[in-house]
Amino acid sequence: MLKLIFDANALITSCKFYLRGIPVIKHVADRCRIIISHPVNKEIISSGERYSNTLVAKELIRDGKIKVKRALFQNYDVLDRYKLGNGEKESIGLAVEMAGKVDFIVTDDRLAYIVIDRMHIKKMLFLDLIVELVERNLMNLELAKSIVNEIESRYPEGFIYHTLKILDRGDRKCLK
Amino acid sequence: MSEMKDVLELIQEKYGEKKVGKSEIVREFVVRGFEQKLMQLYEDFKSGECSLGYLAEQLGISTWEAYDILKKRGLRTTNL
Repeated sequence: MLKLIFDANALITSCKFYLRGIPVIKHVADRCRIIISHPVNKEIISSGERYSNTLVAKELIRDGKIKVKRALFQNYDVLDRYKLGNGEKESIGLAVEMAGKVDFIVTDDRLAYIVIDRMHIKKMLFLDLIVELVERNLMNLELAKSIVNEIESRYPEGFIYHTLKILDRGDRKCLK
Repeated sequence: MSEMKDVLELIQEKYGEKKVGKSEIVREFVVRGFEQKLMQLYEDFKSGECSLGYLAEQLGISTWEAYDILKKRGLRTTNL
């Protein structure tokens, strides 16, 4: 089973959008292990009852479908020089500490993605996670396409179009 | 001190002799300050210079709240 670290950005997308009455995060959590960092969890807890979408995350944490982990290393001298939030920094810290024990870190934040790339940590956008699940036969094509269409408003057009093309053709390098 | 003078002049200019409660003035300045800071951070966010988490922390709100605030204003919630 895929083991992933979700940063807040990807978690928000997957908790806010629903498909067939089920939050997207549940479709994903049924197919892989999700880990979130302590600051990401802290935001979920402190949101109280104001945000119904965080209730979905709370429920999954309670049911053990999302694990919360605290990074042991807390001095982010290098990461502090970037304009990243605590959630993103600790997610990256966790990915460094859990190297070899997690498959990817999932983020939809451009800056976090670049920093993670510079650290040679495996990462992917949430849309690429959907593709990955199909490629690993963990999700059927129709469900994947429906999820991508459902979260369409969250991404610039090219990301959605490209993802649907990849899903249709099974080729990430498709040019048309 | 000169900043304070500027603020006081602005208040005088805006409200003149009108009787306005101090709390109303403070509230307006807080809201304006928040909006101004939000827009400055949004520019950094849009250009990929800062993350959504950073934007939220600088505003003293959660990432979930930041997402909703941007969405309600019709702004982009992603910097992709």
